[in-house]
Formats: sequence, C-alpha cells, structure tokens
Amino acid sequence: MIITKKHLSRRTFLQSSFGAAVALPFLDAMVPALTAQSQTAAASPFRFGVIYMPCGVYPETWHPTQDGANFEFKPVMQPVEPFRDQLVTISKLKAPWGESVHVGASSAFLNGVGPDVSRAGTGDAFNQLRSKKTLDQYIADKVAGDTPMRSIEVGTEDMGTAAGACDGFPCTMFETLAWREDTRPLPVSINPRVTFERMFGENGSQQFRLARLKEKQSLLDSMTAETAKLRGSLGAPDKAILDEYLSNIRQVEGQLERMETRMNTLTGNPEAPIGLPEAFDDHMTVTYDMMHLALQGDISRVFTFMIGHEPTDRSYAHIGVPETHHSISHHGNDPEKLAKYAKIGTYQMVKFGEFLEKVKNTKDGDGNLLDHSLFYWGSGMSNGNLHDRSNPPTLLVGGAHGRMKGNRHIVAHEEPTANLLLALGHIAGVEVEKFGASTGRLDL
Amino acid sequence: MAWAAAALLGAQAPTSQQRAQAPTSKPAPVPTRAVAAPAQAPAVAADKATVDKQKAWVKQYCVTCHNTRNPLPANDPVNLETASLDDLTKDAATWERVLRKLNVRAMPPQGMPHPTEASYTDFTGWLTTSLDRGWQGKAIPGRYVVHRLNRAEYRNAVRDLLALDVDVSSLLPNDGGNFGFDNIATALNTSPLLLDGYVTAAQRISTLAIGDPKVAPTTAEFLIPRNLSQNQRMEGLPLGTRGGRVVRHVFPADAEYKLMGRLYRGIEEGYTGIEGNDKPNTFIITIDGEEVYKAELGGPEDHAAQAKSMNDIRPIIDARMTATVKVTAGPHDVGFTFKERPGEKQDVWVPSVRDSQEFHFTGGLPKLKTVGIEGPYKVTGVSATPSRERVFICTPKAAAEEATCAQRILLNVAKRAYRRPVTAADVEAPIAFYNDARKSGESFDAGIRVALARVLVSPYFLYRVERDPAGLRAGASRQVSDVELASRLSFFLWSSIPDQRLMDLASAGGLRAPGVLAAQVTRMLADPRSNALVSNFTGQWLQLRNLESKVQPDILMFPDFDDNIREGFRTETEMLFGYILRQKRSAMELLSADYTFVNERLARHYGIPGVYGTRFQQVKLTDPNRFGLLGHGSILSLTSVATRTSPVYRGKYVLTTFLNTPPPPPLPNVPTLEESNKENAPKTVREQLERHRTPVVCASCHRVIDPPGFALEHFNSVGQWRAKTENGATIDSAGVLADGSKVDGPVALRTAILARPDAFASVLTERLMTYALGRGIEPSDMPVIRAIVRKASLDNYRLSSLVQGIIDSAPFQMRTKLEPAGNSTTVARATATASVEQP
Repeated sequence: MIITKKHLSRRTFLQSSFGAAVALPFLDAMVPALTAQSQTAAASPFRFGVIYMPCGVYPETWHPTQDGANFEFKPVMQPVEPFRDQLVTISKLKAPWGESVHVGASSAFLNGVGPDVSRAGTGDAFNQLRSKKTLDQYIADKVAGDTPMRSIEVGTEDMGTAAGACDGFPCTMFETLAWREDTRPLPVSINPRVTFERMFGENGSQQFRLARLKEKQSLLDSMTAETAKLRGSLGAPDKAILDEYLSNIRQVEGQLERMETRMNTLTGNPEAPIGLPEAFDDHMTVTYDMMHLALQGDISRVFTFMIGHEPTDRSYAHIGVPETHHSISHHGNDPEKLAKYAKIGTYQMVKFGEFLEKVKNTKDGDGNLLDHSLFYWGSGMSNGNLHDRSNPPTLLVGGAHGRMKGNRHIVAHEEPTANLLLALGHIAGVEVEKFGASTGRLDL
Repeated sequence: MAWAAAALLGAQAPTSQQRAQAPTSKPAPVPTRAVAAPAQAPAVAADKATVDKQKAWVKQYCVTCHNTRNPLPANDPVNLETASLDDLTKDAATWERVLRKLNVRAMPPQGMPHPTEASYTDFTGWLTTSLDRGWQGKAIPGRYVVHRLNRAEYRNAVRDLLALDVDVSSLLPNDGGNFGFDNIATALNTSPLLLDGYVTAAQRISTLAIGDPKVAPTTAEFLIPRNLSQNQRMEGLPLGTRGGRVVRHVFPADAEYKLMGRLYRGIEEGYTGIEGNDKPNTFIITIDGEEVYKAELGGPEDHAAQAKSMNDIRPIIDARMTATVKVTAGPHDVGFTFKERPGEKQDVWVPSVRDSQEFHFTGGLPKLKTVGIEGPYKVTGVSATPSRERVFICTPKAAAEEATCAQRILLNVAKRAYRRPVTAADVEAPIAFYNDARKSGESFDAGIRVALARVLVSPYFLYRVERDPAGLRAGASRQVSDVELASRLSFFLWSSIPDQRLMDLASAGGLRAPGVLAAQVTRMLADPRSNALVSNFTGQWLQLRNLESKVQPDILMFPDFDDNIREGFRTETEMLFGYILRQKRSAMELLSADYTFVNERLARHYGIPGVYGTRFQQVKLTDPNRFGLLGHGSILSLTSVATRTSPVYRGKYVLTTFLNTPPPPPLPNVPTLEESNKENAPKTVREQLERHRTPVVCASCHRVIDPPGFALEHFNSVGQWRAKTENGATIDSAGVLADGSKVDGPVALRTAILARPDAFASVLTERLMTYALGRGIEPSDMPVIRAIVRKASLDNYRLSSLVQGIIDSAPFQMRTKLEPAGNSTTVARATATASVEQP
C-alpha cells in the first residue's frame, strides 16, 4: 500500500482530497528491464540535462583562481570534485539580460536573450507571450528520437501570480526555463508523482495501466476531431491558439504511443513516489532520481530542472538557513550571511554530486551513463547582492560522448552566455550558426 | 442596422429590449441607465493655440528631465520631447503614464518648479478630455480570444457541474500569468504537461463522480503544517474540541475505511516519543460532525511505557488512533481532533501563544501531524451521492430505456459544461464512448463514466468560446449574445460556469431586460460562489497569495506568529473586501474603514480587547491608525522581511497598489542595504535608508519610495503597533510624499491617498477590469475606465458600482471580429471607420 501525501493548504480548514491515486509496488522490477533495454541499444544516445539554481553564488566562493587544468576547487564547488575528469567550469561569462532584475536571470538562461517583452502596460495586451526557443529544445529536436518523452521539465516551486510578485513582468517568464517555440513555454511539474505517471502511466496493475492508457488515447483522438471542427468555425487569432492546443494533443498522443510500446516490454509494477514530498531535501532527491531513471530507461534524453524560480522564497531551514534564499542572497557583505549563502550553494552541489554519482554508476552501452551525458548546472547571476549578471556560476559535467574534455577552468573574458549555449548546441549536434545574442562560439 | 461605435464607447450596450424595439435603422436611443459615458466637455477642438499652450506647459515642467538626450528614469525612460500632443493616441501609453503621475501630483519632483493648482487642473483636464476624444471611433471595444479555464476556474466548474470539489493543483501545472493575474487569455498557454493533466483529471474526476465499487484501496494522507497551532478549537470542528483538522474526502463506494490520526513526535521525529503524553487526552474522529470513534491517549500508563521505550509506544498509539468505520459513498467531512480538557491549567511553562517553537511543542498538548483515510474495504455498493444525483437525472428500468436515458444524461451535463444550449450533435462523441463501453460489456454506470470523461476534455468545456456570426467583417463589433454574456458574468463574479437560473434567463434572451442584469449581479455577489472573486482578486491585486511564501518572520523575534495568524490576516482582508462589495459600501472604505474582522487570536495580536472565540466577527475600531488596509497585518507583513520591516517594500507597495505610480525598477548592479558595517551600524532601518538616499542615483527614486513606508514604521513586521523598534530605537515616521504632503503616520498617509479619490478608484477599476476581461488594459480602454469612475463618484464610489460599471461597459458587453493577423494596430485602423453591427 502506497500513501498519497498531500499538503493541507493553509488556506482552508475544509480541504478536499483528489480522491485517491492507486499505487501498487512496481519500480524495482522495472529498473532492470529498463536498463537491459538501454544497454542493448545499438549506440548509446546523447543525453542532456540542465539544472538551474536561482539567486546566484558569491563568486569568491566558487570560481577557481587558477585557469586551465588541475584548477583548485573553491568551497562551494568542492562536492563535485570527484567528477573533475569530466568537469569544465567557466568563469567571466556575461549573462545578457535587459532591464529586469531577476526575471532575466532565468528566462535568458537557455536562450541567451531573456524576456522578449517589457513590463506590463507597455506591451501589446493582445499578443501572445513571447520569448525565444531554448537550447534544450533545439537539442531535443536533434536527440529525442523515439523516446516516449521528448523532454521533461521539472521544478520544486509553484510560484504565485500576484502582481508585484513578478516585478511587473508576465509571471510565466519566471516560472519556465524551457520554451518549445518562441510562443510556447513549457511549465515545470513540481509533483514527482505527476512526473512519474507521465513517464510510466497510471499506477495500478498492468491491466489497469493499459486500460487507462488506451482510454486516454481514445479521448485524445476524439478531442482532436472535435477541436479541429471547432477550429474551422473560428477567426484567425482563435485558430492560432487552438493550433497550439492541437499540437500539444498530438504530442501527448505520440508520447502515449511510444510509452505503450515500452510498456509491453516491462513486467511488474513500478512503485510511484508519493505526491509532494514534505521535506525539500526529499523533493530534491526524488526529482533527481526520476531524472536519472528517465535517462537510464531512455524515457527521455533531455531534461530541465528548475530548482527554484527567481527570486525564490525557499527557506533552507533543514541545513540551518531559516531565511529565504533570496533574502540571504542580499547578504550585504555580512560574513554571517555570506556563510549561509555559501551553505545553500554547497548543499546544491552535494545534491548534484549525488545525482552524478548515480549516473556514473549506471552502465550504459560500452561505458557508463555519465560518459554519454552532458549536464549544465548554473545560475543566471553571480553575486545576488548586486544581481550581478557577469561571472555567473557555470558548470558542465559529463563525458558527452568524448566531445568535451574535462578537468578545465575556462575564463571566458566577458563573452555572452549565448556563446556557451551555441557551443553546447554544437556538441549535441544542433546545426545553428547563431544563438540568441551570441557573438561567436565559446571555445569549449 | 448600425450603431456608431463612438456612442458605445464607455456607454452601456443597448438592452435586448431596445434591440427588439429598434428594428428600423434609426440611431440607438441613449441607453437609460448609461451614465458611464465620457464627460462631454465643451468642444476642445485640437485648435493650434490650445495645443501650443499645452506644449509649452510640458516643455516648462517636464522636458528638463524627460527629453531625448537623457530620458529619465534611466531604467524605464519617458521622452516627452518627442511624444506627440497633436496626435495623442499615437503616444497614448506615454500620456496615460503622465496623467497617472500628474493626477496624484507626483510630478514634477519636489524641489523642481511646480505649476499652480489651477494650471495643473487645466493641463490634466485638457489631456484627459483630449485623450477620451481622441479614442472616439478608434477604440476596439471587444477584443476577445478563446479563453482557457485556469486551474481555479476548472476546479470551480467541476464543483458546480458535478457537485464534486477536487483539488486539481497537483495535477495541472501553474497557469503562469500576465498583467498581474492568472486568468489572462493570451497567457493561458497549453503544453503537453497540461494536456496530459486534463486527460488524467477527466478520468479521475469522472470515476469519483460516478463512484466505483471495483476501485482498489488507496490511502490519502494529509499533512498538517507544524506552524499551525492546535491549542484551540479549529474551524469546522465541534465545540468542546481542541486542535486537529477537518478534511472533506470523496469516498468512492459504500464500504469500510480506515481513518487514522498520527501525532507529531518531537525534535523533528528523531525523538519518537510523544510530547504532552503525560496527561490523558481523548482523541476523537467525526464524520459530518458526528463522533464515530474515541480513544484515550497518554496519562500515567502511556507515559511510563514511553519512558521505557519510545520506539515501542509509537505503534501502540498509532493503532489506538486508527478506526475502521463504515462510510457511504460521496463527499464527507472527516474530523480528527481531541476533546477539550476544560479548566485544566497547563503544568508547563508556556512562553508563547503558538504551540510549538522550532523543535519543541511548548503547549504541552499532543498535536496531529497527519490524518489519513484508507480504503475502501468490503464494498457493499455505491449509494446516492450529490454527484450521482446531479448526473443521473434518469435511471433506465429496462435495457430498451438505456440509450434514451444516456442521451438525456449527457445532454444535461453538456449543457451545463459547455455553458450553452446543446444539440444531439454536441454529445455524439460522448455517446460513442458510452456505446463502446456498453458493447465491451461494461455497466451502464461505467458507460456514463467514460462519456463524462469525454465531456470534461471537450474544447467547449476547457475553453470559453465565442463565435463571430457569419458575414461579420473584420473590425466590426457586436453586442455578445445573452448566453455569451452569462458566461462572461459568471467567470468574472464566480470564476465558474453560470448556474441554472442565469442560463435560463440568458437562453430566454431576458438577461438584458431592464433591471435584470443589475439584479443578477446583486444576486450573484450575494451567492457564496462570489468568494472566488474576493479571494482571486485580492489574492492577486493585494498579493495575499504570497502570504505563505513571502511572510516568514523570524521565530525568535516574533515567537507568537504562526499559521493561525497568517490565515487570520488573509481572512481579515478578504472579509473587508467582501463586506464592502456586498454591502454596497464605498471603495474608499478599503482604506478608511473604522471597523475590521477579527477572531480572538487576531484581536489579541492587534491588541483589540473583548473579542472571543475562533469565529471572525466585525468589530468597531477605536484606534484610527488601524483603519483600513494600511492597518491590516496581511499587507504590513507582506512588505516586511524576516527580521525587520521594509519601508522600501511598503513604499513601493503603496505607490503601486493604491496610487498607480509604480517606481521604476532598481538599476542593475546597485547594492541593497549595507548591513555589514557592524561598528557603525545604523540603529534603525530609517538610518540605513537615509544613507543611500544621499547618493543622487539612489535618492531620485528613494525620496519618493521611502516616505509612505516610513509612515507605517510604527507597525512591526507582523503588523503590531510598536512604540520603538525591536532594538529600542525611536521611530521617526515623518516624511514628505511625492505631492509635497507631509505625513507622519498611517492616518496622514491614508488622508493623503484619499484626498484624491478618483486616483484610487481608477487604479482599483483598472485592476478589476483586467481581471474581469482577462486581458491587459490598453490606453484605448482608459476613457471607459474614467467613465466608470466618474459615474461611481456620483454614487459615493461604491465598490459594487465599479463592478456594475465594468459589466455595463462596452469592453465587457461587446465582441470585435479580429483581423486575421491578430495585430492590434491593424484592427485599430480597421475599426476607426467601423460600425457596430447587430448579430
């Protein structure tokens, strides 16, 4: 018997439950099956993962002083030293985000541009939200192949949408890291259970899962027909919205179809994680674990993990930092606060290290999973106290199929982060000549 | 027939009766109840002399700073050297921004040459009238696109459709948002994650609504936050109880269920014993208020057992707190609580009102950590539930009746779900699902279940769709039909689908008959469903939704602050807004109310005597500092940080929320308060702020931002009045606002804001209108907003008048057929010559 945990909203004393999601044990049986499948694949695919941390890291606690090989690990980065041979750290990049204070940090992270809108009231109230297609999506185009999920977007925070909470910008800009197209943000799933069920289907017996999946497919199929008919009777602006809707229906259809094929090869029932974990540390662990599982089982080859949104109100009480991440990042050079700021960064490096360790210990083709992956861990700013957009923490880890040499500290001399994005795209085989505000390709 | 678009700008759209009476091509009669038209000022033709005079005014007072060479403010520049006064609509956004500043006399800055009051009035009057005239015939009254239901609307729609209240927030992603709200049509994107969520939700909701005797047992567990004190009676639980929680759970079948309470153990669970276990306590479980289970906990015996082995006692207590109870299908309120121990003083030291500090409970009482419901076991069937009653309007007595009954059921559901009359064609797809299920041997109920799932994923349910009549040309506007208007109304006032009464009225075409619409608005606001408007609007406009994430007072400095107070803050502000709205009181009372809504706990927090019990009640305030929103703990805590108040946040909040003059964003790479210099540490936040009001770059903004914040300095970061700061420093709340008025506290600040009621009514109307229309406000909407405010000003600025004004306005009543490209300038141009056509 698996337990569905729910946070009781502080809002109401009368809280309703979403019925009860069925859950029966099954994951243990599945992992070997998944692994076997990915090991027999003719050639190991390229995997790409992005982890975004808001509010930056104080540069002195992060960037090595020595460039090139065998650089020294500063305290915050220390926990990932064991991966030195497959690790590249870059300093002196410049994140190009316009007038915004926080929103640009995350919204420019993967497209090198930032919000393609101005503050509310000065833009066109009728046009769709607009940003720029992000790197992860270019890479997904290239590497997704027949994986059930083209890409996975996860996070840990469900941000409010109150005016003022988003610095006058559309809140969507704060909440998403990945954009499928210029007008199509991909929201994050914060509930591990939802992510899990998207990866493996509803919990329950094999028979139940297949029945639900079949029913989903019929429902989607029928939705397509009805929506297409409705679309025909509408004006152009409405058509554009329904086109997006239809295209998403088709994506889910494709996803379910590919999942169905996989499901037949699986035996047993995976054990789903509980809903929203109570402890942030558990939330971090289970999210990383699922990304590991997705790569391992070749369910997806691309993920973005938004640890928090800018400027996060997450408290790190469990490691002795009861203040919010954002308020600590405005440390005012107070040594006590700087120490706590470093503590948060270090904690995140520990979690990243745990993930890398699991990936490295996973056999994949002729090597391990880390050999065939590239992970980009970073933030959109360096010193949060100044919202400093130069010198953001930028960490690349993974063998990338031998396409990236590790053990290096690269000094980028104020090159825009877009130059790095272009270089990452090229490693993954994306054929573009310019990316966002790129002025060239960072020599990786 | 055609109506001049200009006549409708801001005016009430014609009623259907007037429509019916005017089949000939006579011009529209002036609508009887429509006062909301722009004021007809004497002809101020754009004669050159007048315009030149105004140009000189702008040059004299504005262009020194807002020029081409150096358009201030640097981070959000305004150039008034190039902005055209000849063609105002061209730079309307800029001029509206100018008006907002001038209307509250926030420009020119203090210290710069100021016009006389008469000269101010002359310029703003001319600018307002000219802008209003400039838009006549050019505005696009009704720009709407298909509008996806957001998470809150989806949940409410399911509740009203199926009598089933389910929390979909875990299944559907955050909707994002724009213009400060999450119901903005153009920001309600779709994604694979969302679509997957819709389909899954439809499967689960339909299963819950119909019930399922074959459903496998599951467990739902609810966590109770540690920060919620449980040392008093909790809302929704019977009198004579203490602590615990009520959950509304939908039971899938008539069966046995295990109901479980689990206690907090202490020291973050590393300590497996139970605090407060030395005294006896009675744990009880209630269903719909009736006690169904009772167990004794604690006391000498348990305490001795715990002293022997903390690990051993745990499963014993857990078993005693687990009941097996027969429950019928459908939603039930399940309460888990303790019997009160009246009259018994605690024998432990109680240092604070809240019942726990970081690791220890200080109340000496056991506290529930989770409650759970597991089942069903030994299913006996699925008896009548509110959802089944709603769905099964017929029951087939024989196989031959099944098809007809299924059709009836689905037509009935679809009509409510799609918010319009439906035909057999609308339910073809659901019927096909029903038939497939029946053919494959499923029961009648199971067939209805899957057909219902199909209705829930229809684009007609998930989207608000309005269709342009055939033959209407691009750019032309029409009055929406009564049925379309019914949906606009219900999504504005209820965040949900129309009810039967509204639909009946609309289907009969009677919604716009004289007096009917206003009566419906009154009825709908009186209905509890309008709580959605109160909480969704205040949650976003006043940012109450951030109370959970942003308000994290330091536990050592504010040991009494807990979730009960946090929840109380929200309730207080929502109740004030709801009261003013429903009792048709002046919107100005939001700031000036000499009454508020508190329970005992919150009253004690504020120092208001004579309030007892957990129920919130209206109390008369004697201290004028506490009047209105500026004295609400919600707003005062939202604008503070963990260890101190933030005059900057408070100032920015007041300027943005109440005065509509948000300060420009901070420049990048500018540090915030330096708190590092410990030897020379400033004693107060004010001293700190004075320091960076010295450099010119900071001062230009902070001398405007900080004073409203300083005025509130006597309120600490959890909204309590304080004579001195926490470190004993004297508080100086004096300051000068942007308009030059001297303020020295909440009363003076409130007086200064309310001295310009139109400005406050304007910002409120702009925000309400954004929420009502689900789109951003364009400069071309401003004449309408001014007309609404002007009309409400004759009626004591009643909040309900603002709401009614919005509902009567052209943007709410009309729909414009958009140009193919969806490009607003194209449409604006097309509409310049367009007429408004009847459907």
